[in-house]
Amino acid sequence: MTEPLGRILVVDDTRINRDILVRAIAAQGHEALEAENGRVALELLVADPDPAIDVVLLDLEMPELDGYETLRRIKADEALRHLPVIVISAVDELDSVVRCIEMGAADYLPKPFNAAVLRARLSTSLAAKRLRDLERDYLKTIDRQRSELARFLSPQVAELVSSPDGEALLGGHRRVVTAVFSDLRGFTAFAETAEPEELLDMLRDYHAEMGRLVVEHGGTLEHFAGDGILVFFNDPVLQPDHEQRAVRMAVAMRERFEALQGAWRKRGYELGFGVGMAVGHATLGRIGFEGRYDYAAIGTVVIMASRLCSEARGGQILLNQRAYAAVEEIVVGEPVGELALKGFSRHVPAYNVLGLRAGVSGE
Amino acid sequence: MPDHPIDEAAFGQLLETVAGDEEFLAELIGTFLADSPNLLVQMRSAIESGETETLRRAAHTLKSTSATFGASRLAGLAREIETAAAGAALDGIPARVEAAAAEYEIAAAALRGRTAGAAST
Repeated sequence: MTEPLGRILVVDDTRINRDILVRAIAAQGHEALEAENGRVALELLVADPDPAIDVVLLDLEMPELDGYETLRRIKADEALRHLPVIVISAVDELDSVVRCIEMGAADYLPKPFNAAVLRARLSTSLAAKRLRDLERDYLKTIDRQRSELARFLSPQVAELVSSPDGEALLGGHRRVVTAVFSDLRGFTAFAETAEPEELLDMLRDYHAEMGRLVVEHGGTLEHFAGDGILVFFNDPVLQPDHEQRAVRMAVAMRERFEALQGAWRKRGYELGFGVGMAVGHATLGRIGFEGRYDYAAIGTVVIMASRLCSEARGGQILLNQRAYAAVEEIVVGEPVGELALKGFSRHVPAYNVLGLRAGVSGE
Repeated sequence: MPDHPIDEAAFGQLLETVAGDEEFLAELIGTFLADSPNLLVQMRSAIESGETETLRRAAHTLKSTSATFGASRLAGLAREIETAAAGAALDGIPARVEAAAAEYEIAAAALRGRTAGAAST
């Protein structure tokens, strides 16, 4: 039998009680620390977080700081509140025990002391403390994994992976989304002539700026592919205003691009920024193979956004009819006619967004 | 003898709690014999000055430690004093303190006898 061994703090103002408990605790294989009142005990607990004290044996009648106040302070302290406290009490003082259990004490140890009872009480409280420590370690690991995941995945998807609904949503579902596809005109020519370092520098700036806008508007970044960026809204987190968020992001991206373009132009590169945006049903979920899965959106809405983007000239943000209808009240736009898009048998009416209406904030 | 000053079961439990270490038990008895007369002095002066809280606290400690060594009659007297002090009802309490002092002498003698026994082994 492997008894869990721990560090036990004995808090009692009566020397004989401390001596007996310290001896008994040591005889049971634990390490014993002692304090003659609550004030000294709290000093020890705060000063000695590692290796941590596992269990406190607490007398109630003490000068300076009595057991009730000590217990109250332990339970009020975020770092100490999970520490099991066993109250020491004579059998004729069970009222006090009830009060302490209500205040958060884990258990009580009757006086006069009994070795077997002490062993059982310590063993129970230590097991609880070990579980609590394990739980804390697991939570830390999950937190670390989540923040690490968030560096690779969009924050919404990282959150989804560790949420209770995660498995169902990852498994695949249908939903109306707004898809936004953007890329750079003239990028291929630029990539052919630019030095690789220069190309990577430029893409890094571009991705950093655009990525920030995606996060600000609550978009789910599906992927960066060179200069192409696919973002969708309303999934995995539902967003009642997903169309408006998307168009605000597109307008903000275009403005941001214009600022970046100034710097690139000085280096002799002429680039243009185009956006396609569409609203419609998509199937969303985990797509890929064991070893590499992506959270992806599949459906004509994504293809539509991509085709509209291909049609857009530099500076244009082209929307399909459903997307335009949803954002009409906050944007100034113009119809650009019915476009023949590859893969779509019927011509698609499209609209260009010139900007947000006056008085509509860019947030 | 049914009315022995030291309760054998309680004393045996204490010895077991300190893992059967008779030498350590003798030290504990030494501490008890050194500390308890002070408690009785405190109780007497607390009665004179009317400090019921001091009286209650001293009686509480004596109750606890004497019960630890199985000095049940002494523990019983100390509990009566503790309860009376908590209610600030001190009628007849000076007599109870004197009875406790007398009982302490009997218990102390019995415990000393045990210490001598432990020391001789």
